[in-house]
Amino acid sequence: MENPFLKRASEYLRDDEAFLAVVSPEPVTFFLRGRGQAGTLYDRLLFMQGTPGSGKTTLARLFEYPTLTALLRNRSSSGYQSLAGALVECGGIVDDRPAVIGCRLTMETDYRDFWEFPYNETLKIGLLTTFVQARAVLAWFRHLASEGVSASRIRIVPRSDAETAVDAIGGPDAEGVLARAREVEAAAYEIVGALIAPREEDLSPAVTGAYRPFDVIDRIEVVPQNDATSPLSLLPLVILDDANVLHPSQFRALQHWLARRELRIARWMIARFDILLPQEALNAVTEDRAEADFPGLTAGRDIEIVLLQSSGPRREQRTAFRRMAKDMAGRYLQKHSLLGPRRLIVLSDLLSDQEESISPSALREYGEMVNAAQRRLRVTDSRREEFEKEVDSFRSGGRAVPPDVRLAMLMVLLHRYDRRRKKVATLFETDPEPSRPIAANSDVHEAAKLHLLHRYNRPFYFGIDDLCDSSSENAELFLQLSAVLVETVATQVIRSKGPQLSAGTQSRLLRQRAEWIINKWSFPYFQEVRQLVTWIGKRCVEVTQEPNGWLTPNSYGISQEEFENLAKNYPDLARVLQFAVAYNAILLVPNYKQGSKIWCLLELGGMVNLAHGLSLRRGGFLEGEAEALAALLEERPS
Amino acid sequence: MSVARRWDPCIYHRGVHAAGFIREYLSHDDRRVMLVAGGGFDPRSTHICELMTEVAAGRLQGLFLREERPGPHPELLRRAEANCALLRSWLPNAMIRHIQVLATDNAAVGGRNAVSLVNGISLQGFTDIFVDVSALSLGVAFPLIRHLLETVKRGGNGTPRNLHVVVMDEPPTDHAIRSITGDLPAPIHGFRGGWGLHDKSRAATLWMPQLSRGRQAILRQIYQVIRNAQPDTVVCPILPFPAARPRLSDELIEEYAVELQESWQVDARDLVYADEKSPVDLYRSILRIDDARRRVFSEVGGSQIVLSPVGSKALSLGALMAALEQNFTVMYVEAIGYDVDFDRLDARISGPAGEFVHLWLHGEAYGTPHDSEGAGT
Amino acid sequence: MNQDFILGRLSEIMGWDTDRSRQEFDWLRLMSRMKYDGYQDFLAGMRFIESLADWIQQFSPAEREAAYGLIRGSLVYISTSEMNHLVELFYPETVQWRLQNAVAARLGIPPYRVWAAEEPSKLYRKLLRQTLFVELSDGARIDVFRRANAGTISNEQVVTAPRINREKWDDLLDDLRAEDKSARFSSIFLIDDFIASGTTLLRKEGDKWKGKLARFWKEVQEVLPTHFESGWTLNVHHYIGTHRAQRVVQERQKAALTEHGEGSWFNSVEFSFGIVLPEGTPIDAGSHPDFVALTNRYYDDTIETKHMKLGGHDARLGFGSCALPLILEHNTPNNSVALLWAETLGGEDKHAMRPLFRRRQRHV
Repeated sequence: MENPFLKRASEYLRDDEAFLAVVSPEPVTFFLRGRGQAGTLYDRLLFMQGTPGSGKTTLARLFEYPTLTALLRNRSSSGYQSLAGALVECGGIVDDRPAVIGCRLTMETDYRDFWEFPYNETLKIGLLTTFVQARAVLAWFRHLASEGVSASRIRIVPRSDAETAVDAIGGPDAEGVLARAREVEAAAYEIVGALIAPREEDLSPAVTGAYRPFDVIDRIEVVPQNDATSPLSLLPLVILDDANVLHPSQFRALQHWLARRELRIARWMIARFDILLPQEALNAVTEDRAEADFPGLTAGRDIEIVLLQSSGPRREQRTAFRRMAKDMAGRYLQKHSLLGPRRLIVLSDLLSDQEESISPSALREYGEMVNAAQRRLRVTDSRREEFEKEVDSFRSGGRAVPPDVRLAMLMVLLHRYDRRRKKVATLFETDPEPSRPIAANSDVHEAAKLHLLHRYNRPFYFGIDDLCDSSSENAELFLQLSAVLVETVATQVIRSKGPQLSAGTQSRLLRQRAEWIINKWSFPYFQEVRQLVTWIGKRCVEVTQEPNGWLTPNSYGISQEEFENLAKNYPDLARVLQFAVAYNAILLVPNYKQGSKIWCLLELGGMVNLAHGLSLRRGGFLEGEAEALAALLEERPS
Repeated sequence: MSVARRWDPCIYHRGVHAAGFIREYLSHDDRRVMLVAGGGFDPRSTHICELMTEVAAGRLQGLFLREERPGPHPELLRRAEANCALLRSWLPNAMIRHIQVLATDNAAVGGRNAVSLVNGISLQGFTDIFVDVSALSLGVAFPLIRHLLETVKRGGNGTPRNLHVVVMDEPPTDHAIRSITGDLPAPIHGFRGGWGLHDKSRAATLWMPQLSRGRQAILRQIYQVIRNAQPDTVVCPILPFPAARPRLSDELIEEYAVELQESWQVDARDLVYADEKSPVDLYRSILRIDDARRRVFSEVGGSQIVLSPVGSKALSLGALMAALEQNFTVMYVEAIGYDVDFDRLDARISGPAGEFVHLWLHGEAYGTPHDSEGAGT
Repeated sequence: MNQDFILGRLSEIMGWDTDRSRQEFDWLRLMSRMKYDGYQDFLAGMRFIESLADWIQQFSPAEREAAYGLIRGSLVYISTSEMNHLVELFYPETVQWRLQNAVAARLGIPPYRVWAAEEPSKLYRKLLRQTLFVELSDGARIDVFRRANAGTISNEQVVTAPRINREKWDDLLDDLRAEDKSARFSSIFLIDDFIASGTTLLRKEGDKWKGKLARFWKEVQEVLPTHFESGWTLNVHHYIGTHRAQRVVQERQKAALTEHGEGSWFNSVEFSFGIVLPEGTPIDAGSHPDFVALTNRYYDDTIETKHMKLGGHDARLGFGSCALPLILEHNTPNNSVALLWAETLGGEDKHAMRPLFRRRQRHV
């Protein structure tokens, strides 16, 4: 039995069709449609950032020429229509033909290595851009060749102001352009591969000369094989993936160089969050996107920034992620060898959202505890009745709450009342009024359910939305969490049981899986990250368990100002945080206003929330200080 | 065997034979030896030097490389100092040099730094170079060995004729030292093997990861990089067999279940076995597969093999030899630090000792003291 | 889909819940695909998981976990590719090393000088040609050995029949002398796949030494003066050996030599192994109490043959009570625990034993 959930989307790269079959159009629509329609996808540098598994490469891959043509070949079949539609909306496809010829260059260490050479900075950057350009040209030719277009049918259309520079890139014939690119690549590769860097004066003119195809090329045209069709005019697009591998100085230089407005080709850079030195990495997510000011560049005018993870419009993003995840799950289930043929392809149908109550004996015990609390807190029966009515009128999803939740909510209300009643009056008054009204609202409901989770292990995480929300808006995490659920569904089917998973099974499996994922963490500073989130997680649990349920936190807040000086004041903490953010252990919520203060929230990632049993709702945070976190890290993990 | 191999036969010793070889070989007065080794916290830093000092005192010079990584544990520093003091007590004139393994952005630069450092050191007057990789990371050791091999092959007046590699194979020590790896898989410096070149873009790529305990995360990362560049990559994992524990390869299959079945889609017939104790066996196994693939893909884009020796140090030397011979790509993730279980590390001192492994890479044993191309027999 | 069906039944037979089923299904799918389905005696539609379901059902529900536990946690299964690898290792790791040392000894040079000059290299090639490789049973995989060493070892040096008659000896010598008229054999490697108790190779019955080595001594007498150099050496190589066998064969060789006296027995025999199964491999009441109880409860002594009784015990823990949880892909050795391989008809209060890995009887 093959469980496609155990693969990453990028592992379907082997075959364009298989890849397209699992890609959801949602992220394309959500992140790129608006920009495509505004024309900012192709006329300036587009800079895309996200955590590993957030779907950066998948997005980029869609714009690669062979993928686009494969999509066009299959556009009539239903599985591909929505995706093709999304690409039309982004301007990748026009009139049923590809409009761009994208090539993705992974910024492997080849490029980073130029930085280590004993040459001056200008030469080092020059070698880098030369290498990038040669490889982009080769990739464009390669992609066309894979579609059966030989160099003889390709026409390189130069920018009108650059016709005289065509010679320098091997032109005007396409064959010449290809040959020159090859020669340049080989020469640059030899330098990178040499055990000992050659002396500056020994460098080949192929790499030190004026090779600037990005400044020359405007369009790439494909001459049709017969007269029936018109020539295909393609906008060249270069996508520099994993740009975080570059040295920060290289990165900035390359960004500068690609942001030049006179370039005609489209250019995208994709990077993870930990691309820069800590402060810069953190700034990248905290800056207000509209006003972000890169050194010498103006975001918006020169650079279009796309953030693939939570920051900014969070609610909207969570909704979009749910849509995408459900669509993706359906696509994966279709490929499941056992469930696909049985048409068990709607994940939400397989995950029961029926609550499961605690056992009758536990309910009795808990009822006694509520009675005891009432006595201890000296709450009159009539006051309790009033609270019971309040709870009974509360509706969750249009329904009244089950008896165990009802009791737990009552328990919360009793304790809230105890906090809010006028203390001074207690001597004389047997039933004082609270300072503020006590209402049974969704916060009380959430706290009550969490109390039951911690006291009786009552299932808390179940249903498709919880699954999506615990994935930190990361497609790979979503797949990893889903995998264990789907495998259990398949096991039930094999054992001739019904396919649907009960709330209890889901909640247990998700929590186990989350713990397993955290235990398997293996990225730079993962131990420190684990130490950090465990500490925050435990404190959040303590507060969550407080009987009045005043807060169900899953974040730790430090003042925005303190956060902004983190790299300077607490460099070790900043570095740990950088990787915590890069690998979804923590999500940053900057500029969070509460009361008169502005906070930066360190929101625990979904895996941590699951493992500790915390709310998935956003906004609840513990007020804290960076110093406490820094002090924590000084106790080394053992 | 139909294809002549550079190291078949290979002068190679293990255990008592290796120690015996060193005692006998270095006892000759005309041997002038340069020992290049790690000078770090690893207890294996000192073993071979100690043995060599016993037999070749006065004829032995040491170059000890201290690999430096950011934010080391104080205990690691203390142990490294102690080891260096010990080495210096045996070889008062030894050179102890620091190597930055990582740049400020965590890029692996140790190999490049090591080569340029060694390139600046005169080897005049030595007959033999021994590289002890026991306490060196592969990212440093591999480029260094390639550089030294090129140096001895090139020859010239007064340059050493013989290049040897030695390692203390000590699995308990390996288990006590867990590397905290970075997250940038990359070819080891000098072992790109054409990776990423346009001319190799159509080559049929075969990745041969060496499976070992607890290295899943690294191999996953490496695979991502390879698969991103070459979607059609076929995976032939290398499993240890024969091994001291006969169920070891089954246990590894279980540990790598998801990778084998789902991500890498490995066919049972694609499992490759190599003797846990013999780097030369691994070398032969890799080249046997390469021979066959070379023929198959000769007219359709060629074949490209990528190795990822993340298992034992001793076995990684087999991968090194294969990569040197056929210019394979060696893909690897550099450690950004070490998480050491000091109790376990110290416990091994009272436990069973490890075994020396010696490989003679180039020189008199092959009848070719200096040549321009290969040391074949 | 077939596999899913049988997995469902197996989970019923084992009484697993969904979580346990999920974990075990993962393992069963993996190991059957990667290894166990390759067992040569499995039939179509009746591979590992089906055989397991069949095998497990002979035990009472309460005992099944113990039976399954042995398979899951202790089975040592050597696949064909693993076995072939042991064959491939034999020449470069054992033969070459031995001959290299022989050359060095004859020329009085260190072994590492053997490849450094023409003379020792030539002598090496000569000694290699003067070596015979004799398979002791069809498990020795001489076909794989030949293929792995094509171009290095000639077909005329490899003898497939266990008994070599005079005519064959003469042929072998003629072939050797095709290049060198006066040449004689200088060493022999006897090869077999597996040795567990050492009984088949060399044992003492009453006051007589028996076994393959004793037989070979007799056979070779006739041609020793004519076909062999005076200082010829005998090597015995097993691809797989147990810890016990490694010790026992040395002791018996010494005893046999002492009893026979020099000249009447091999002066020295070099034993080597591709892999030695460690001391803790056999199961016992300490390591596997529940399973050992099963071997007692479900034992049918009709499997015992005269040959087996040579081992000195009954066969519930296998021939020679070797108690191995070992399966070789081409056939299960009879030294393995009988419950794994035995098949009987039962009757008269005797349990009808069902095999998991059916054993083909091999007569040598």
